[in-house]
Amino acid sequence: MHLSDGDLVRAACRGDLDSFRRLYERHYQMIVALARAQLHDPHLAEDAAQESFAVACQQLARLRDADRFPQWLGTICRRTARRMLHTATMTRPLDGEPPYGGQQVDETESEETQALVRQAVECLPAVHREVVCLRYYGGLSHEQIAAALGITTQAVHGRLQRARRRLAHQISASDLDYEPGRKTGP
Amino acid sequence: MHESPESNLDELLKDSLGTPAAPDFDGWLERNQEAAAWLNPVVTEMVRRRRRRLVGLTNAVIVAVVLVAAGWLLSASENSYARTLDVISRAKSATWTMTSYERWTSADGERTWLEKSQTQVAYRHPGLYRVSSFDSSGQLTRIDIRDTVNDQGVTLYPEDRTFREGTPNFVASFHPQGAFGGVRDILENKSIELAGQKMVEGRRVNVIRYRRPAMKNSLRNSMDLWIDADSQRFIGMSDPGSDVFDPETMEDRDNPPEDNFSKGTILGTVTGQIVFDADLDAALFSLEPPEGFTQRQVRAPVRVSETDLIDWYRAVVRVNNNEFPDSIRASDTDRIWQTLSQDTEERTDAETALHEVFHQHVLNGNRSPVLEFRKHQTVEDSFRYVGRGVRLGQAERLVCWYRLKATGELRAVFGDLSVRVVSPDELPFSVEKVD
Repeated sequence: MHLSDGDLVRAACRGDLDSFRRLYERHYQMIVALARAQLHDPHLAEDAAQESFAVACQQLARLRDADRFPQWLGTICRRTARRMLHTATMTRPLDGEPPYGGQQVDETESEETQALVRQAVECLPAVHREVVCLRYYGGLSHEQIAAALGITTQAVHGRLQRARRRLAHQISASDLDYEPGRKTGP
Repeated sequence: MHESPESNLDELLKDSLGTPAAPDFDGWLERNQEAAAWLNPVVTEMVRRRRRRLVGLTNAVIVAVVLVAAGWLLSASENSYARTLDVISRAKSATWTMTSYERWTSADGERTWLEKSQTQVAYRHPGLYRVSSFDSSGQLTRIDIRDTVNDQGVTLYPEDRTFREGTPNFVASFHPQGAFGGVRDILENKSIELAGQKMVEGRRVNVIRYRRPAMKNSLRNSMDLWIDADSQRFIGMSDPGSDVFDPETMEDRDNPPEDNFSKGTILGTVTGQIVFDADLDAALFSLEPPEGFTQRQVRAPVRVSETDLIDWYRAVVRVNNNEFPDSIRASDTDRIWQTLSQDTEERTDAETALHEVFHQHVLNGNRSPVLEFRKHQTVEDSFRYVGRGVRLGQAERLVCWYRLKATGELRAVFGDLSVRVVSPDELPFSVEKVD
């Protein structure tokens, strides 16, 4: 039997750990994708996701509208990610160590392409970057993204379209040998 | 055939961004136990209460708002720990089972095993308890019925159909507030912690751990209360808690018992199979002995005399290689304890003699003859034992001395088991109390 987020939240507030487990597994991809949109680094994003669930666990009893759990969790995640980003930017990398997201030497052409695509994503406005990460990193459907962000599916579609256009322009404008319609990679 | 630009970009984005790891809730839980503890309504309720108190110090309007909000939260929540307390306090009757566990060690000290005995308790408001005790073989040994309001009681012995009147030493602790009143007190007033969850009697329970302040220096100061995670009903408890006592995981739990043992240790008690508002016949709590039961004759206690003391030391010394034991309690000596605890036909004459003397003292209610002698026959704080290292026959060596209550004489026992009156000057140190 499918239980709604609201049902699971209410059960979790009664001490049902298994309900919180289901919430965790149901929304983990979404949260880690939101965190990735803020932090760019996948490992940091997973740390932020886990910390977000810990905060949510502690504050779950304060959530007045249990059915808005995904949006509420997303807010926690953004705050957590911003705080981690602030901490990360205050930590200077060691000499010789590239900053995260930086390019490694001796990359293959494919790896170079992917690195540039990631940079292009990082340059997107936050609103577009979120939907891109939710869609392509988290693997969420339009409906799931809409539920996570509290917007309509049409709004999700529109944001993704605009994000793709920006990305396509940025990628084409780079030295990267990218042509719409041609597959990349070996 | 050309791929659409959108699908190319989609693939590129997926390849570039990768995919996150699969959710690992167990790993998350292991690292965030403290956060998970907040899901427990006991904890959240305590937080709410603390918060309300803090706010209430500042502004009457804020206090009113918070109280209204708190009332809404409590009424909206059907399953706060208040429900646990409500069931306990409203119960007019209850039944439960207490299982006590002991660890026994083989005669050679190499193996251990667990033995358990059960006690079934029935409670009826106000203050009536019926406690049925079973030995490790499941045999009903006694039934204690107690009226704690009027301080009356009777003990029934089904095996020989006898009874004894009076308030017996109780196995089950009772509380003025009724069955599990102590549990109520802990949940309402004491500092507790959430020690995780476990399955008990097929239900998932929250483990609420209480540490007794009076036993703060003991490793066994914990007590676990088990509260159903769904219904919030009180399911049972473990004393001590599973941090030091868990019969389900003890390595020797399946070891077979042996006839010979060197020592036994009480491990703890598990309380479960609780039924609140059980349908109990009032006749179960009647203090009238059942028909056909005869009253046990209470004998006057048999005290350990000075002659008995000497006979005891004689038997002990013969078993202990003609040496007096190291301490006042002979059983503290391994050799003596081993002899006393063994149930075997292969005994030396000396061991047999010790066994017979000891058995007689036990029948008289004197499990520790020297201590009983000291308690009932000597002036308080006058008994001194110095027998360590003394060998049988050493007439010049002191074993012990004391002042008799009956005569006031200061007397001493020597290595040859002679006894005589002594003066304080003959003793290495004073026996008199220093004011």
